Amino acid sequence: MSETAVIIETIVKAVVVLSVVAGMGAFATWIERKVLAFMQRRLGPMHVGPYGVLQLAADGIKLFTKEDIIPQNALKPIFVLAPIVAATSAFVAMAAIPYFPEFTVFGYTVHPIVSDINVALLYVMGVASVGIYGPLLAGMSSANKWSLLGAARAVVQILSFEVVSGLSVLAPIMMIGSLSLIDINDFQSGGVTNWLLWKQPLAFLLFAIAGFAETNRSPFDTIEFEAEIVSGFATEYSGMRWGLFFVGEYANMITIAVLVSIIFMGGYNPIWFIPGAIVMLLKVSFWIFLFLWVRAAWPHVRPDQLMWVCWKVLMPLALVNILITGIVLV
Amino acid sequence: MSAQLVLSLSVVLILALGVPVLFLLSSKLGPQESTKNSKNIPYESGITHCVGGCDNRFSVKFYLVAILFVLFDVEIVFMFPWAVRVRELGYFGLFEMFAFIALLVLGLIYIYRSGALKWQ
Amino acid sequence: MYEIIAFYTFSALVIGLFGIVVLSKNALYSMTALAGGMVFISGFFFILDAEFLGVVQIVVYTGAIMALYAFGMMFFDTTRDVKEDIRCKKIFYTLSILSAVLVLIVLSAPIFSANIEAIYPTLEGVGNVQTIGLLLFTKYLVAFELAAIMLLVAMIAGIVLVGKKLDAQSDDLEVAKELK
Repeated sequence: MSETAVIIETIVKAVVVLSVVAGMGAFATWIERKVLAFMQRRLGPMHVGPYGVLQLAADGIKLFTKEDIIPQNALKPIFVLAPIVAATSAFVAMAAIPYFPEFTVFGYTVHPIVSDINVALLYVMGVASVGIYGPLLAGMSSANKWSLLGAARAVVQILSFEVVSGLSVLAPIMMIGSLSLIDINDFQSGGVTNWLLWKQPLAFLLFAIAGFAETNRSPFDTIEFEAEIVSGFATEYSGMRWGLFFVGEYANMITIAVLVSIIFMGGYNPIWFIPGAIVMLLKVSFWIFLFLWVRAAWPHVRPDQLMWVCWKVLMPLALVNILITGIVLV
Repeated sequence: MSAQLVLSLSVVLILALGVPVLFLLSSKLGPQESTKNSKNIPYESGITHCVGGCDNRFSVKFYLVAILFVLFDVEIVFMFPWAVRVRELGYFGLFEMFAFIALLVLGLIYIYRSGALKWQ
Repeated sequence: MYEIIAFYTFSALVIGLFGIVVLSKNALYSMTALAGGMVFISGFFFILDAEFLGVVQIVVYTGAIMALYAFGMMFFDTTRDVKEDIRCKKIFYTLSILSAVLVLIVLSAPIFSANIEAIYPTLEGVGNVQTIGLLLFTKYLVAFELAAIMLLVAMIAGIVLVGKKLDAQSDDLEVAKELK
């Protein structure tokens, strides 16, 4: 294939992925409000448009046009850069994820993956981990003690749980023998019984917990815990700068949902008569809903409890899981 | 193969950088009010004179967790090449990896015993 | 063609960013630029078909080691500039230029003396993770196990250097709590 064709194809795919994810992220904010409201026996946003759907547009206009405020002692270039890093790393990480099975349009086969790297899993986790520079730089440049405290908490939490997610994902990798997400998906073809979930339940659980912690969702949202540290690293942010952190968080949530679906829940293999693309959508929606459900159901965890759980419970468990898998496989 | 990969990743990087920058520029659409009033002082719930600056002392334990993370991250990176070849490497590889993990678990036990991971 | 363009773009970016690291007076600018440079270095690995090493570059250097630096920097106020105290500028500049020339000579020596050939050419159809896995457990086994011992030593050294009084500290705090 000629290089110009590659560039055009990549641009089209990347634009589609970016806009779909941005749209899903925006829609997810409305869904989040609605789901939380229903779980608390409220109605949520109702006034703007039917069932409050147009609340999205109202929020968007407000965010996009809000005045820029940069606090007086902040380091301006880094302060501006931090939200961009958060959003960019989340988007770049999505480049190596296959979303749907390949399909043919007008005799042209489309692979729904932007760049097919053969170490895709490690790439997604590595690039997403660069996202910690968002909170980190935000906290260190805004010259506010709450921001700095929030940044320290954020980095400690995300780093600790990266160890857990890295170790827990090793056990499935040992069974499959490849880091390519497409290979991981193909390994589980042939029905629900072939899902890795049944063979690696412990790894699945650990990866899910680490996913919740890495995206700062409750019960692990000690980073922006309003009652303790105002708004954490985002204290001094307003308008679209704050919005970009939000976009990054939702993009990461979608990434985790897709990763869990592909690695442990059979990916985009068709089930029974339902085609693969719809199966994938259903799984991702289920995971997004689970994120919200957990937020409504569970209280916060204290930061020290979080560290204790991570280093003394989850990490040893992940190591044991790897050892057992190794003994069984060899 | 590599040319395609580098090309597509560069395109993604440029797009992913460009879109947030565009988003940020959108604030020029809105009102451009002054920053003369006390809007841009550090947030402190309305108190004008901040209590405590941002040169607060941090617990050294944060730093310790970072060191631990670096070490375990390197360990995980070493484990990935083994994990994709577990079957071929067989018992020998398994034994070697167990020794590798055992050495690090030894360090982890030392850390537990020294109380470095006790947070209040 | 595109590889050459990519190579020079990445080189310019990396050199520019590392220039900021050295020349900036603010520690936070330096750290940000260093982290950015580390990300772009991985581009060279991707150009060379070594995807695994490219990703490892991002994971280990940008993700882990730079985060360690960042925690080191949280102990002082990073929004202020660092004042460097250089007593004698002549010696400073001569030494830095000399060391730069030395590094250049050492690194360019293999280019002039002999052609560089890959000892292990890349295999078609096998990802480089798999190749590294085999090599690590056959030819470089001793180095691999030594790496584990080095990691252990580093871990214990970190605890010893940082946390001599970790227990004493926590005891003090508990006593203080009881007194309240």
